[in-house]
Amino acid sequence: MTALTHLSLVEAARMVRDGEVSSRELTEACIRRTERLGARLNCYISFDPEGALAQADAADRRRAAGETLGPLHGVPLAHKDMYYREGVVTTCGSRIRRDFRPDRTATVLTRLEAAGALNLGGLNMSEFAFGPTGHNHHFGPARNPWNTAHVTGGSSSGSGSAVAGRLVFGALGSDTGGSIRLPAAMCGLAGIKPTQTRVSRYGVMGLSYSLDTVGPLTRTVRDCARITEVIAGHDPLDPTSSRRPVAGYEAAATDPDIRGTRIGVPANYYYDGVHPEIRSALQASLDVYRSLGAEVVEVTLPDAEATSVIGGALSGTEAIALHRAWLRDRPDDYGPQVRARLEMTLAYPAGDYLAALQVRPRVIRRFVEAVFSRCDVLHCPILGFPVPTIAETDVADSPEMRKMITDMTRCSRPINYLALPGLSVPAGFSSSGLPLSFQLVGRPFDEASLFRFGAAYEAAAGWVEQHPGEDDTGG
Amino acid sequence: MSRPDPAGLADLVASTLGRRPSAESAERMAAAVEGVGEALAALAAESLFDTEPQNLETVLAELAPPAEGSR
Repeated sequence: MTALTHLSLVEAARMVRDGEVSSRELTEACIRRTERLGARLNCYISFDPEGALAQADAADRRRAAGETLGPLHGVPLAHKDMYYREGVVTTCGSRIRRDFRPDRTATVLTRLEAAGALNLGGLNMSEFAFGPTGHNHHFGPARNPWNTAHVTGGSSSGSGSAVAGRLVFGALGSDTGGSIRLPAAMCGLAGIKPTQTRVSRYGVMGLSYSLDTVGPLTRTVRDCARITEVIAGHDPLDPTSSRRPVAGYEAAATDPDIRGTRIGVPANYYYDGVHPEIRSALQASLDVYRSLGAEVVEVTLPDAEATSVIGGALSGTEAIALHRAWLRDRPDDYGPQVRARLEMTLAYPAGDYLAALQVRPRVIRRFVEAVFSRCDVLHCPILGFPVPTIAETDVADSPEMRKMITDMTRCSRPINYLALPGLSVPAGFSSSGLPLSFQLVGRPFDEASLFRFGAAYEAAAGWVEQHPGEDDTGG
Repeated sequence: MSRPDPAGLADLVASTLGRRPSAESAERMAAAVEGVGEALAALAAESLFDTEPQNLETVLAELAPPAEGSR
């Protein structure tokens, strides 16, 4: 029998709804596992078992009373520690906000709770969501459950670690340059960066207004679709959120018929310098897609190199606008790498920043018309090399720092500037046992296609059945 | 695009933060600024004068598939 903690989110929710397990039992299982493995993985900043059990008991009472139950009823989640809840400390992974108590609650948290989800606490993250490895100068690095010597990826490091470690059934991350897709890829999870404006950012710590997106990390594509469907849609409290209707994401994930479709493979940029092991895994995944009836076509991507550079400059410039006063008055309260990266962005000319914003719609149009006139989804690497160790990437503010960050975000960052949806999909394991993944990219607001193609591969490949051993997690 | 003078960038940072970055940091800043200039040139962002302003959300909606479907 599958341990409760190893169920998918969808199956756990079904069992609670059908009375096969109580929300309390599910929550206690997560708590026990967290007590056993949480310190080793260093994935929580704040852990609230009592609060979660109280929510679980309330969920069980509502079910007993015959109330209508939401799609996440009674299922424990936890989130990157940057989603505000009124009156509850939200650190943003920082010393500066160590005691910060927000005066509002994030709309995404409100929506998850309305759908019945529980909250076990705040998860570790890169300081102010500004770092792709998962290192954190103040709280220490979250650790990869597949091998705790390795990074989780960041900035949603604790989200990747906790979900892959089977401590919780799903978690929100945020993605400005790859911060959902990278930890999902490195921890063997599904993780989506939705289309820009698809999900409300009200009550969410800002890093870059133009690029910040909110999305989940989960163990299956269908789990990812379910959470995304709950949190997506217009929010009157976030005027930048889209009014476009939300498509049937979970329905797409349960309809994995991709016969007669076309999958695009980049002819340029994305495979430059990619490690042979990754190249081989991605080729194998394309063979799976061919076997499912899709045609694989080569596509030339316009502006690929430039969008990566501009995406980085845009996020950095907008970050410095938020951090300038603290950077001037409290520099020693930042970790060395975050401080160095923020200071570096002060040099970007205002004219360059405004040009990057002004040209963006034209660049998006050029990319979408060139790529999606040839294919339904784009299939490409998300990380070009095997998951590195924590020690290898502990570069702080050294001269190697810029290259390491550029290399790590090379495949993820262009998609943020292009505002497109991107989904990380697990694609097996390296020779050293660490997860391998690919990225699916779609047209604006076509998350449904990503879930359909992701679920089709997941079902055919079977990687989803594998999970980290207790020895890997040190438990 | 020529690389900006690192010392000038260091002055700029010092005037904002009240402390001067190291020479090595200033060199990295100069390289980063140069890279952004080259990337903008590649995107033809230097010739925006005759282009009409565009709204991101409108463009995304125009490029999206029909709202009800994903194919």
